[in-house]
Amino acid sequence: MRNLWFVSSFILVLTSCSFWICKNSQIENTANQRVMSGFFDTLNVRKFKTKIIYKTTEISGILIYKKINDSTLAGGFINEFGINGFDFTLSKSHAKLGYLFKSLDKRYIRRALETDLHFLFSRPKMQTKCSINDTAAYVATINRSLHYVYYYASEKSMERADMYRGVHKIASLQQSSDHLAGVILKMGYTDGSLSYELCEINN
Amino acid sequence: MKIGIRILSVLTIILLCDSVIAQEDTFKPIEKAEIPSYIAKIEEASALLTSLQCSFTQKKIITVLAESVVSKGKLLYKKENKLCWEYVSPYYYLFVLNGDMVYIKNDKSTNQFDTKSNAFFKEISLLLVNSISGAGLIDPKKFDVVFYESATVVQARLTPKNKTLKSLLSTITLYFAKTTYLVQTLEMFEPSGDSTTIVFSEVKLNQPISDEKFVVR
Repeated sequence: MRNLWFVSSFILVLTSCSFWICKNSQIENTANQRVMSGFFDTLNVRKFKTKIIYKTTEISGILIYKKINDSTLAGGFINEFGINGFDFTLSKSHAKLGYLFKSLDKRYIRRALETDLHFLFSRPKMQTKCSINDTAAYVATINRSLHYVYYYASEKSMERADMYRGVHKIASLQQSSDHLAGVILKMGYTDGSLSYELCEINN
Repeated sequence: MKIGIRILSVLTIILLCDSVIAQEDTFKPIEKAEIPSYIAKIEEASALLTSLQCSFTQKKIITVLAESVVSKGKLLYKKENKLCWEYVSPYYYLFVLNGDMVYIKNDKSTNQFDTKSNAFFKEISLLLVNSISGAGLIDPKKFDVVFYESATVVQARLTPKNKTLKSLLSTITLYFAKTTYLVQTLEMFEPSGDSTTIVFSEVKLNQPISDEKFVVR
């Protein structure tokens, strides 16, 4: 009985968060929608020329990942000279960092990178459809306070998402692609502190 | 019968080829007493080196993914402290060391750092410059060094003593051509099992290089 109460409260909290993001709009529950192109669709290894910009510091290198099984990606980031920056695994529900370059190995950096890698590469199944600023959007609830909002693309070559913590938008993601350059991902925090630029390298 | 002879011939050729390759690749440890003479040859070659131009191929093996990343580029070195490490593939990236200054240029921007105030770039620059001749790396204070040799190559296996470097690299292996006593291949092994191999080719020694090549605008 206590468990049932706990689960009900938890679900209520989760759904109410989505309601906050989608306030003043009509909410429709839907299942298994995906607005942005996914990264779990191919077995091929994918490599991205990557720039991570934190305030005035820029780290560049190559991010490489590979699908290990239906639900897991494994990847790593190396700089141009081949020095390992970090490696990670990514499931549909979360990202987990393994090795992290010693001078960067701080708990808050791990958490931030895990959150950002998940937002960059996961394309969760969305449950709630609503309208934000007259734009149709799908909301995926990642945990109690974290939500991803995916927008319908007006152009097929450019897709867009936002990350919300509670009711506050904290980061935005743009995904575009063309036949020559492959996929380009640009993610940035709204306060300008941290941003990522990934441009696919075609073999 | 004819088929039998043909198979036998092919097998013999394969075995002969194998033994030739094995002979070339077999490294025997160099006696401790002989090591100083090899170090002297490497240091002498390094002292005579005034400039170097070459191409390089860098292969990073990521064991967890069983995948590799191959980069290619060109390298210019001019004594004392001028180095231009230019990647052209898979994308353009330029690392230039000119005295105490490091310049990094990609397709969009140029950044500069002073190695006196940036420990990371100081270490990277030292490693890159020293890896060309190898002389600066064979320092018994910094590394445990073991030497091996084959018919054409001298191999130095360096195990870092320094804690910081040890956490990054478990071994650095330098391959010196016996004709020049300069590094032709550099291998860096990480504790995770990952490795980076840099092979230098089309080497031109002691030819004039303009100082302009080390200026980044």
